[in-house]
Amino acid sequence: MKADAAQVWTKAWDAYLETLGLTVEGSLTSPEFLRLQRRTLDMLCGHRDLWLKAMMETAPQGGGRKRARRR
Amino acid sequence: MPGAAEQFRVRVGRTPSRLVRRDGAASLRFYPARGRTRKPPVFLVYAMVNRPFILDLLPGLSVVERLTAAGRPVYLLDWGEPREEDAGRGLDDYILGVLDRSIEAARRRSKVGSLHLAGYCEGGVFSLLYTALRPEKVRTLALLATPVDYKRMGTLSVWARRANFDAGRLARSYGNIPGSFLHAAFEVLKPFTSLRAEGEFLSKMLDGALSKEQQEHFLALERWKKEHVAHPGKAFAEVVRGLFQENRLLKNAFKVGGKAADLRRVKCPLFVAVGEKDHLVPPAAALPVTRLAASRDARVERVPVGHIGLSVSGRAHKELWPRYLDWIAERD
Repeated sequence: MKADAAQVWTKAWDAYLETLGLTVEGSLTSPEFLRLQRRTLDMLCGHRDLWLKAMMETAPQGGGRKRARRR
Repeated sequence: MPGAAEQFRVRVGRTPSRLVRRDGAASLRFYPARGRTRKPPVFLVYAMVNRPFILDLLPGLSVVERLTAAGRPVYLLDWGEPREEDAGRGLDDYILGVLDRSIEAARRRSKVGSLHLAGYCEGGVFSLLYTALRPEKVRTLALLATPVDYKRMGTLSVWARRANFDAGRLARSYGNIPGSFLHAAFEVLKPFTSLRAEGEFLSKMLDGALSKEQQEHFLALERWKKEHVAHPGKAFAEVVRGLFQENRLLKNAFKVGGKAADLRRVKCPLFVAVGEKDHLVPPAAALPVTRLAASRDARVERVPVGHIGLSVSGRAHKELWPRYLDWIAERD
């Protein structure tokens, strides 16, 4: 009984995921998805650029160690 | 966070081999043929975006093992994980540099004038361009799931359009393109497919319906899917711009390091294999190569499998690879 119920549930869940997958797949070339793609790339690149800039600013400058040693 | 399948480290790449060359991040492995043989070797080139161990996945499902068991020595080029300094290296560095030096090493070691070159997916594109530029070093060329018409790659073609995707910006910001980005894009192409496969695997395993080999096969494939490799940034931007956005291979106008790679110079025997269910490189994107190249001796094999099925399906191992072996044997 338990095994039967688990099998029915597994099949229903798989069918649900298949339908959902096909629906999402059908929207992957829609203008809305492509806009999302462009914005995601903008955000990722912008975030990365800011992070790199911050890293450059906080990194010790050349000669910093020498000055510190002199002090 | 590692996926469940990654915690079971299935041992892949078991065919005996030795490392014969390193070239930056890349390495060249040699797999000796079983038994005494003087046959010219097969030189395998895989894509940069995944690990090449898919070609030597598990005993019984290994292209390398199948070739060496038939008395054919094999070289396999692994592009490796690009280093920071590789971000600025273009396709010319890889095709006329790393690939050419590796093929030279293989030719010297095997004492042959030319060898059987076989490229898979992006590795096929590099092999095709290489053959156009150095035809004298290639005896036969096999292209597996290799695109030449980039406008016929379905969703990927739409995503890569100039209006939708600025590969140059991505490369400038990140240097090398993280493997996780490419993996995410491939996963989104077929939403929930991995999740469904994992659910099915778990359900069958709990029912005791999977043999040890079937479990190992699934886990090895999962390991391969999740071990992504970054793509060298400049080379990535060149692929997106020149191939996807300008479709230069189809127009026979692609240049490698300023040199025109004229596909009409590809005159050697050509073996083209496509997966009829391949959603990444559909047959329509791969087959035009037979009219772009000047090879008079061209063979097309259609296999009812998906993209990686050409290397790891029982069907490919029963039909495709034995046919390839016979085909090259007739052209030794």
